[in-house]
Amino acid sequence: MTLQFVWFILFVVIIAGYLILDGFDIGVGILHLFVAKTDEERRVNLNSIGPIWDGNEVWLVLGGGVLFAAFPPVYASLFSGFYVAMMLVLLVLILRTVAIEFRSKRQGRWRTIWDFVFFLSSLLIAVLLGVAFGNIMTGVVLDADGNISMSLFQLLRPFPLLMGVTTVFMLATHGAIYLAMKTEGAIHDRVRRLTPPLMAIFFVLNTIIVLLTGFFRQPIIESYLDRLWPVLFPALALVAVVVAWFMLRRGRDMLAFVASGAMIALLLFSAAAGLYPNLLISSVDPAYNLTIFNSSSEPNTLTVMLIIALIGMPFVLLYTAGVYYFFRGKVRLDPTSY
Amino acid sequence: MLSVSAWYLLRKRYVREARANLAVALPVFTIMSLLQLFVFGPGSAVNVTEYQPQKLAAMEGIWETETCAPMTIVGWTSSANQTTTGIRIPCMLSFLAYQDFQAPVTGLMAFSPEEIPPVGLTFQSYHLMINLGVMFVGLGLVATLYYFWGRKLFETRWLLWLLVASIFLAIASTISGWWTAEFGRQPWIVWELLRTADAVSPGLSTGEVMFSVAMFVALYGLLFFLFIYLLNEKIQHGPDPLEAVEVAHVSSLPDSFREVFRRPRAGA
Repeated sequence: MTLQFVWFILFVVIIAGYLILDGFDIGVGILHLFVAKTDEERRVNLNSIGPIWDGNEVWLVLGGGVLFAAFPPVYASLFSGFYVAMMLVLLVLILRTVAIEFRSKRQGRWRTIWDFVFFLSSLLIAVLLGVAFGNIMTGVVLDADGNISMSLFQLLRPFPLLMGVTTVFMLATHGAIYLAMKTEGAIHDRVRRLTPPLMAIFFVLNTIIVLLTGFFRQPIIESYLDRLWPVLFPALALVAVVVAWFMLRRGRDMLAFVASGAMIALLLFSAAAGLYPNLLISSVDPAYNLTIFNSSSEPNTLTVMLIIALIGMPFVLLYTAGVYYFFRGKVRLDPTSY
Repeated sequence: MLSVSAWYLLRKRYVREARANLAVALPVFTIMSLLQLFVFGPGSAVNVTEYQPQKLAAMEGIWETETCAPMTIVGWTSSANQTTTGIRIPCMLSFLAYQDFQAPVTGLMAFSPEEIPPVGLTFQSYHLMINLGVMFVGLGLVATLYYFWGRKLFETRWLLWLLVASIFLAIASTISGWWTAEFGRQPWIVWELLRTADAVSPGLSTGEVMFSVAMFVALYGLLFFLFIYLLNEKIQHGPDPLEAVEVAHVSSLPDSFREVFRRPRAGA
């Protein structure tokens, strides 16, 4: 019981880590064509995430790994049921990586094409992530054997699509604040002009999602009314958004970035608290829901994994912190940059 | 390195760099292929024999359990007739598997037909890998000989051409080795616990699987083409002059670990 809860918390924290970290470099990709106009500016844009984007993506692998080892039935249902969507996620993840690496290899049109690929794949990752979260929030056609029977187009329902668009604006805002921190000159001014409207649109969309959830997602509301204290998460997320807004206006980019990261984590915690103890909700029959209790690995597995995680995680945190520290400050281009 | 250096020598470009490269790459290539033939390869043979005897039998096309089992150099194995023909070294497989020329090697007929891998595919991909591996040893030794024999290697065009081609053969042997492992462990996806056929996601349609396969073929085809294109461009461009490399080095990398922490940065 306790072990399952610990792994649920760890899983949520890892996904939050992924959204905060890869979130801003996806955001930088979404903004790529709009804030960076010249070749030099686009290089600055790429190099702002150059040393760190791949380390950030490791958190997604980590999340998948935790799901696979700690809650295998959820992993199986999710990855089999969302097969085509997952393949598309892989496709855009690969294309984005290739765009970052290949862009600087040649001059001219080559770069324009990869700039576009970088933008489009970043945008699609955000949309697909949002759609996936939307479907998890809404529930899926999950039968007694844990099989999901939904085609790709059935996943693209209005609410998940709205989540997709909201995620785009959330990550674009997050990425913009990061760019404000890492750049100077024309690109910096453009980012600063763009951030308030991005943030405002995100805020409106997110409010709509909260309201829709409040009116239509009975189980989530009941879960909140049952325990009440998780209301702290959305409340603190609101505080974080306000802090980010004012820090940005005062030019305290670093603090704004921290606040924006905290807001993303808190929004995810809010959703997780509403779903708890479910990991995957069945729209067929609540009895088919996959919860952290009916779909976890054996206690032995969870204990061994916990020991490994406790040894491994400090290293991950250490090298992550190290890379950010070494590459702190504004981006400077040199002959070895992208 | 070997392939690119040989190419430069054939084209008479970057001769100094190519010769220096070869002096490192050739011994590594020769020693590694020797180790593969005499250390890693036999080690794998012992492992396969112990844990996956049907894979071993399929790799060498051994149908009936026999003592003094032969090793095939090139040949053909027929699942219909359950026979293997070809050029074979007697007793060699028994020796590789058990370090004893008379040891019995379990044949495929000892297993139920539902528990043996596709023999022809396993056999042929295994032999492609092995023969390429043996060829690398020969190529490495001959090239080393020509190198020490008054640096004749640098003028011997047919040998340089073989070295250029060796990169493609190395990739072919790596992939055929992978095929051997994957074909050879069928019909299991988790050895003797889960059959590949039972491991398929229940909700998955043929169309969805075809979509993902087509997507990956298209994507990797495109990336392969682009990769080769860029790689070729880099090879044609050749190494930068030493001075340029050093300038870039100084401006981008810190000289000591301490400097990493001291490096002044604007805006930090």
